[in-house]
Amino acid sequence: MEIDIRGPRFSAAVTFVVLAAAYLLDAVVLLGFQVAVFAVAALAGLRWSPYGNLFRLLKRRLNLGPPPATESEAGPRFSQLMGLLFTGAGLALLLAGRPGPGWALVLVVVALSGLLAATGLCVGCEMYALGTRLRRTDTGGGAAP
Amino acid sequence: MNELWPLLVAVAVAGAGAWWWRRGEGQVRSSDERFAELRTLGVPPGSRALVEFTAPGCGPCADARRVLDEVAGGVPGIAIVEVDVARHPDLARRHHVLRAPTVFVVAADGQTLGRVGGVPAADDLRALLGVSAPLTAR
Repeated sequence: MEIDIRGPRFSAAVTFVVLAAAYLLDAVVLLGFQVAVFAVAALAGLRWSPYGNLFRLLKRRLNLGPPPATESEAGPRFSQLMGLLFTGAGLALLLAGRPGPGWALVLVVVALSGLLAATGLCVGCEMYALGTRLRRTDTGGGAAP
Repeated sequence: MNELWPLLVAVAVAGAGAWWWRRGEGQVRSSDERFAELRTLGVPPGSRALVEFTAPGCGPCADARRVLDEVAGGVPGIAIVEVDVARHPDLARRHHVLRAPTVFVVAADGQTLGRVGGVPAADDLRALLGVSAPLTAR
């Protein structure tokens, strides 16, 4: 599935605000909400992402115009999975009475979300692409001109 | 309420990482590699080539392609080739491609004239190819 390239940056900005607020306010419920958002996007696909749907709603309401470009959802979806793993583990540690390591894992996601929102650099996407290169062997055929 | 400074440190570290990752973006690097695969990639004999390595989910790859189209448009003897690293990982490994987009400027004999990680500048590619920028109408 192809997605609007602006969508992941919007979702990252919302994620940054939600997780930063969760950390500063020590709000485990808010963290749990973000974990659920990651889970839906990673497991069901980006078309079901709550933040993605919010972005599409805002696009229509604010008439933001067509996407300047589209991209495969594979990389951004992998990023959502990484977010789920880190924040899910962080939430588990918090519930187990380990707030230091728990919030440390959440802060990693906060930082990377802020990075994506501010600069467009998607670390998860880069990891996905690198993993694809390292994992596969040639399937043959020529490159498309 | 948790302290603010760990949040600021995390953001600062991420920012430093982004600066390090992006510091060489768009810079032309010399390379003594040869592209023996030009013919199998569909490049006509005697043509120079702009070879772009792309990847799934690579947003800047479309921007790089637009630059290549701008440089090669209307100039005879320059072929544009896109190589998806997901379909050709061996080719990517052979040429030490770690990021997408990566653009190679290749002479007709397969000798690499230069490589650029990230979105290249059109003028840099023209300089490597020895072509002039098109005159703009006034």
